[in-house]
Formats: sequence, structure tokens, C-alpha cells
Amino acid sequence: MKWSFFDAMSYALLYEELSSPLHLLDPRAKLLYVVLTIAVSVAVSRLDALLLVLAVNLAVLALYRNLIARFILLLRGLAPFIAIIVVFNILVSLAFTSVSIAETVATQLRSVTRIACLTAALLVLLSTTTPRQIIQAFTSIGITYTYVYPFIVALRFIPILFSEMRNIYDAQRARGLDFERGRAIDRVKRLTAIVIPTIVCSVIRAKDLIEAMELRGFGYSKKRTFYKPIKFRRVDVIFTVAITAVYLAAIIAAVTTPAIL
Amino acid sequence: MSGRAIELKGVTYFYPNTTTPALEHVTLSIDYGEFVAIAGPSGGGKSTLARIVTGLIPHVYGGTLDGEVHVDGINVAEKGIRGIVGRVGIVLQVPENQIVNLVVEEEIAFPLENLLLDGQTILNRIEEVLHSLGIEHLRSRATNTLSGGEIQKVVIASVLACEPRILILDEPLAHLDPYTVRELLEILYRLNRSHGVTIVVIEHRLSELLKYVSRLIVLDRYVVADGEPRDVLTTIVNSGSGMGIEVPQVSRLSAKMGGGSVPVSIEESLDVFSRLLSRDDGCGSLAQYGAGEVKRAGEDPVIAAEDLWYAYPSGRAALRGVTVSVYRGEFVAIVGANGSGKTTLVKHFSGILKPSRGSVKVFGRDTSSYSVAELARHVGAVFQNPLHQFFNETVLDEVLFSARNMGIRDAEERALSVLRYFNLSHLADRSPYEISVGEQRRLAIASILIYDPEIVVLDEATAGIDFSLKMELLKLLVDLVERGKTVILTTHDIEFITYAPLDRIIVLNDGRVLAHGPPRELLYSDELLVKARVAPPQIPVLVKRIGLDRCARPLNEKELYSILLPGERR
Repeated sequence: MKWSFFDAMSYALLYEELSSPLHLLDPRAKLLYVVLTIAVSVAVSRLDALLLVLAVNLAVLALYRNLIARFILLLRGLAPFIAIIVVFNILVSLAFTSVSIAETVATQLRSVTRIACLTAALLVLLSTTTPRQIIQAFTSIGITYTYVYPFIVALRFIPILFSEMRNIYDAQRARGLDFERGRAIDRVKRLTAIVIPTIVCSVIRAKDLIEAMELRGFGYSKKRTFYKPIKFRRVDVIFTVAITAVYLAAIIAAVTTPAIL
Repeated sequence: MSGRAIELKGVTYFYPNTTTPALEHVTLSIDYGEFVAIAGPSGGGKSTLARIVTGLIPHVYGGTLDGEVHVDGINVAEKGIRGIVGRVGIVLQVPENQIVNLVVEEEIAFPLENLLLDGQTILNRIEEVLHSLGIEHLRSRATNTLSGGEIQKVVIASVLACEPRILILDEPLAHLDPYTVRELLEILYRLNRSHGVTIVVIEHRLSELLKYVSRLIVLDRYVVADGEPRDVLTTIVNSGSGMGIEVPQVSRLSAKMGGGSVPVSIEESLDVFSRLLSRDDGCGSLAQYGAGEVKRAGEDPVIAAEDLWYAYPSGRAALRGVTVSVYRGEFVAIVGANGSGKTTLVKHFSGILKPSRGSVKVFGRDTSSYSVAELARHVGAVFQNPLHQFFNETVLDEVLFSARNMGIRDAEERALSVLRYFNLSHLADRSPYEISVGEQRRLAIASILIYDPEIVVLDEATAGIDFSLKMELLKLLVDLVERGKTVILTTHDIEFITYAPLDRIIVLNDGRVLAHGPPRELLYSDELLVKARVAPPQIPVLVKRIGLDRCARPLNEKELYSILLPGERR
């Protein structure tokens, strides 16, 4: 089955209500995992060490039935954008710096690996944690929920946005707008036919959502209760320690051992 | 003032930057325990009233509000939304836009957590409300996997969890199939009867709703009528204005026959009509509007789907071996419950979706060999939400855009002529976002017809529009058919299709074709309609109950009336 960009992105980021080991982890453990992945991806500059980090992330993804498949879908969806950035960087490096082609390509490979690591970690968080759980995690460390909610709700709407864009794309094609033919500049211009209705529909959706939230007491008090307490259990400690240990090993190895790649 | 659930005195409201009031001198009161319907034409101020009662106006929308608004004893205009949170629950027009959380249980807990209730109380309330709405099975479901009817119930559950004394629902039935409509109204009736919740339903689809409500208010900027549903309907249908309300067909029939007070349900109308309609002496002159037959079976179809299967990327099969043909000049309706595969099927006709298995041919050529843009020259498709199409600055540009896409010569001249045909030329310089819902619907069709496709496909074109706009739309479609176009529409609005001179109905259920044939055959088949979860329209039910269906099979009140009084048939 051929996946369109919109279908792929919408499906890959969708939360699924299942009871997997990743669903059962404390949201704080998963948030910490994302933060650690970002930190190690930035700290390590050697490709072999980054590949080790990626391998760890792939192992985490494998804990849940279809996360690897979704990861591939997500990367495929992002591929055109990543490719544009990589080509642009290579061209700029070659045109304006004295860095060799090999080194430039290696730098871009490292960047792509970093993106893959971050994508994997975020995918674990978003596919197995509800926005409410993430808010609960932030609230438990003293951050007021009214500040966090808008960002988290925005995350929840990403798959819906892609699904809406898909409908708009279909509606425009149905009246003869061809997004796949013509010069690149014309194709980019045609994208306004998707972008403008998407913005209009998103604004309407956001307005409805704000009204619904206000009418159900959002912001009624600075505090908020949570009907299910979250607990940092032994399994969360083991997960966090294991991830930290492997990431530390990657950093140490990158500093102390000769590069393999 | 505190004795009433809702009390408005002399309320006039202007939206910001407008000079015409959305509501004018509205005075009305609703007592605790009432079940009230508020109807009226699109743009008549129904949703504005809901926003005023809940404090969204003026606190979120701004504008100028005069008069007094008291809800559950609270002066809402003064206290705002916070004053009535938890006391008044509201379900807004598009329920899926109101879902904040990803899991049903979390969605129900959301307002309770905001109101600082403790964990155990919240869990108890979740259980109670899931039980009372009969949706325990949805508790752990992700909200993005729910059907339209399920979403509606979850939003209601979330509102009810606060134990409000007043529940307001703004057009809750617009996007639901008739079976889900009935299910939802039963729930509301139960809440009203056993829990004493005051219920206000804003709606223009009244046929089913009127069986449950004790009072009907008609609003068109001011209160046009208010009282017992039968009296209000009698006033409305006898005035001939209709007020955009979908008056039950039996009420229209009664009014046409000059029967004084109109019945509001089939049961009520049986007494009156059985005397008039029953025939002991055979069919006599009544043998008209027979079952009808499928036309043009011998011709080559313009669209032919053969053993069509389609599965969405998630793996869910939406179409399972569909085989249908549509012939040149036919007027066809595809009906079925929510999720039966109607939209998926017509997306195959316009090439937007390609079959997972099987084939779809348009004018004998496989759609997989066409690009969507190429196919659009033959099949003009208008989807449910017109806003998905619009992005130009003016109405004229919107139509011109399609014309230029298709390389139409004299595009401007053609565009102006199409706008005239659709009665939109006076809006040519306005933004497509500023015009009314009915005008947007017409514009969406106009921007397809500018390039004159042979086949026109409309997906749920009547969702959310009032009765007069539906009839306006039908006139356009009939005109297209008379001009030789093939028109295909998908709908779950069965009352609407009884007014359409359809050649054929295709009934879908769970991705399969359950039946196809002439309307007079299918809409008189109880077994089929039950299987397809499609509620039968009122006139066929009435005719069958009286036993007249062996003689004639009228579909709407006009046809039945012409049978009774053939001399007056037009």
C-alpha cells in the first residue's frame, strides 16, 4: 500500500491506547529519556558513537509492536526536508569553506543520525504517552499546568492537522489542481491552496477548542488535581539508569577511543 | 429571577464591527426540568443564544450585549463563564473540535480535574457517567479512533460528569446518521426524566427531536414562536414561511390538507390519515408512484466499480468488494450509516483514492491510469467542508481559479455567468470566508461547474444546512440532471432524498453494497433499511402503516397529497 506524506505523518504520530512496557513507564522517565537523548546527540560528535545511541533508541522502539515501522514512516515523511537541508549545507560548505567533500558529507551523516535519534525518542514519548500524562509530569516538578497545556495540546493536534491537510489536498486535486506537475516554483506557489485552508480550518478548530476548554473550567484555578497519581517505580529507575549508562558509555567511548567510523 | 433555569430579558446583541443585531429584544425563560428545542433558519441567532447563555458572549467574543441574562440564578453577563462552570454544560456544534484529551477516560476527567475534585470522586463520577450513557466499553479508547456518534457521547459524558443542572446542545444531530440520532435523543430524554436535567437542544432537524421535547422555540433574530411543539409547528407550517425548519413530513401533509392542529409524529397522524387513506375497494385511482425500475441498464456505464476493495493505511477495510455502475444522466444517491464507506467510495470515483483491489473505470478507462487532475475534467467532486477548497481573496477569484486550472478560454465571462446561475454574482468581490454557509456550499459547487464536468459528485452536501437551503441545493441539482449531467450524492439525510427525483439509491453497509434500486422500492423495504441502519422516511412509514403501499408508493408529503387530491396535483 502506498502511503501519502500526510497519511504517513498522521499515522506515525498517532497515540495508541495499548498496554505495552513503554505505555506503563512513568511519563517523567520518558521525558528524561528524551532530554538525555537530545543531550547525548549534541554532546557526541563521532559517527560511530552516534550510531550506538541510535541503536539504543531502536532497541527502545522495539519494545512496542509497530514503533519501528512508524519510525521508518516518519523518516520517509521527513526525508524530503532532510534532503533539502543536507544538500543546502553541502553546497554552502563547498562554496564558502575549505572543508573537504568527505568531511562535509561526514558532518551531514552525523546530523542525519542525530535527527534519527531525536525522532526515535520523541516517537516513543508521543506514541505511548497522553498529553495529560505529560502535563502531570511537568506539574509534579512545579510547573503550572496552564503554561504547559497549550504546547501539549498543540502536539495532540499534529496528527489531526496532517489529516486535515490530506482532506484539503484531496479537495484541491478534485478541482483540477495538479501538485505533481510543472516547474518547482509553480508547485511551491500551488501549495498556498493547501496552506491557506489549513490555517483557516486550524484557527476555527483552535477557537472551538478554547471555548470548550473554558466552558469546562480550564484556568478555573492555578492548581489542578489529577485523578490518577503517577509513581516513579523500580522499572522507571531501571529504564532511566540503563539509558543513562549507555549514553555515558557512548560519550566516554567517543572521548577515549579511536574512531571506527 | 433565581427560580428559572434560564432567563433572558430584552437581550439584543451585536457582534464586533457589525451594525445588524444577531439577536434583537429576545425575552424568554426556561424552567428547571424542561426539555426544549430551539429551531430557526441558519443565521437566525441560535448559536449566538447558546454563547450568550454560557457567557462566551460577551466575555470571549466581545461585541455589545444589552439586556439581562440569568442562568441558574447567576447573572452570566456579569460573572462570565467562571460563574456557571459546572452548573451549565454545553456541547458545541462540532464535537470533535472540543476533545482535548487522547483517551476517553481522561476527557471525562478533564473538567473535574480543573474544578479541583479529588481523585476518588473523579473516578466515581467517570464510572457513573459512563454507565448512565451506556459507553463503558469506550473508557480506554483513544478519542481519535471514535466514530461521530461516539465522539458526541463522550463530549456529553465529559459535560455531564460535572453534574450540571442545565445541558445545552448546539446542533448535535447535524452529522449523525438517523440511528445514532435516535440513540442520542433517548439518552437525553432519560437524563431529563430520571435526573431532572434541564435540556436545551438547538437544532433544525426536528422530525425525530419533536417526539421528545415538551416545548419548541423558533428563533430568527427574535423569538418568532414559543410553546407546545404542535402549536408552534401549526403556526409555522400554516404561515407558509417554513423558517428553515425541517418540519416533519406528516405535519406538512396535515397542513397541506388544512387539518387545523398538525400532528408531530407518525403515531399521532395515523388516526387522521388512516381514515382518509385506507381503501377497502382495491387501489382504484391511487395506482400511481409505483415501485419504479432501474433505467438505462443496457448502456455503458460512465462509472463502473468492480469488486472494489479499499483498506486505509491503519489496516481498516473501508470497502469490501463493491460492484456498482452509474449511467449517463442518472441522479443517484449513496446512502448508509456513518462509517459505511460512502465517502471512501466517491473518493474512488474522482481518483483521489485508488483501489487496494479491484477496479474503478470512468468512461471505460481505469482510474489508476488517470491523474486526479485529469479525472477532475470528467468528475467534479465537492466534499463535505467547503472551507477545504477556498483560498482566494474573492468569490470570483475562487471560481476563476478552477477555470484556469482547466485551461478554460473566456474564463472571466464563464465565471460571471456561473456566479449568476448560482445567484452569487452580487457577492463576486466578497471573501469566500465572509459569505453564509449556504452561499459557501453554492460557491463550492460553482467552482466545479465552471469547467462543465459530465459527472458531479457531492459528499454529504446537506450536512449542517437548514431546510430551505437544502431545497435550494436540490433545485440546483435537479437542474443539472435536466441539463444531462450525471449527479451522485452521498448522504445520511433520508428525508432530503425523498424530495429528490432520484433514479436510483445505492445502500452501503460496512463497506458493502447492500442493495441498489429505485427509491420507491428501497425506501419501502423495512428489512433493508434496518440492516443498513438507515431510518425510513415518514411518508413511506405512514403509507405502509395504513396498508396503502400495495397501491402507491409516495415518498414525500407532496406526492401523497397529490394522490389524495389528484385534481390539485401540480
